[in-house]
Amino acid sequence: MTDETSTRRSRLPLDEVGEPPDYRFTLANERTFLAWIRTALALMAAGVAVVQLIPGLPVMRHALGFVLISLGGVLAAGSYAHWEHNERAMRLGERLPHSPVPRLVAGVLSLAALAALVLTIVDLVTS
Amino acid sequence: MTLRGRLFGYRRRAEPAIDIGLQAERTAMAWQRTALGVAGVSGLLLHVADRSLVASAPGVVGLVAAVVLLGAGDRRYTRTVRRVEDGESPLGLVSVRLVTVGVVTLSVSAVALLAVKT
Repeated sequence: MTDETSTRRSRLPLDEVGEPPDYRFTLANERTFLAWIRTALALMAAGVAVVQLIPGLPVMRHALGFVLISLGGVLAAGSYAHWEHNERAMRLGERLPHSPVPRLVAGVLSLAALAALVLTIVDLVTS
Repeated sequence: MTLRGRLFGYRRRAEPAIDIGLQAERTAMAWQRTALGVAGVSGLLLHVADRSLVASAPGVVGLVAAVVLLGAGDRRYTRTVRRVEDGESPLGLVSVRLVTVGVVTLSVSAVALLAVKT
């Protein structure tokens, strides 16, 4: 495929690209997208909970909470992009794109959990 | 062949039965679980708003959106089954885009609300 053909295909509306894949793959892609959306919602809920419930310095709590909530929003947008890339790849008979999102979310969540633990321990020690 | 098959003369299907209903049902349930997630986050935002009228707006809108999503999940099921039976793709472009915009908006609202309440 030439670069011009590839560029033209990537500009076409999603429902006009290639041939529709087996309906089961389309629905599986949609369910995967919704699973990521629910993960984004859980991150947002965790962010609100951190601000409201975790003890410790208000600045640190709010910073951690904002990071989690913002990550939820970024994850939701990234999930849509990944869903669309998957659907395009299936319609064009191409390999599904690799997603860095699971590793990114796992990394950020691990750091956030560690930060929450540190905040709690510091509060316990200083109180 | 089973005893029942021998007695009633059933033959094994040449093709597997199409599980349109099961796939559509799983997808509709995924939409409903998502709606519950939206409702949960919206409830939290209402709690943070603490009865302030303006601050309650994101939570109220989120709860309304969750109810709409619940109904949309049911509608998605029937539309998916009908489309697949008609040989069309069950691609839900509008639904996916709407829920993406909604969740991103909820995220921005949550950050703004917590920033104001600080």
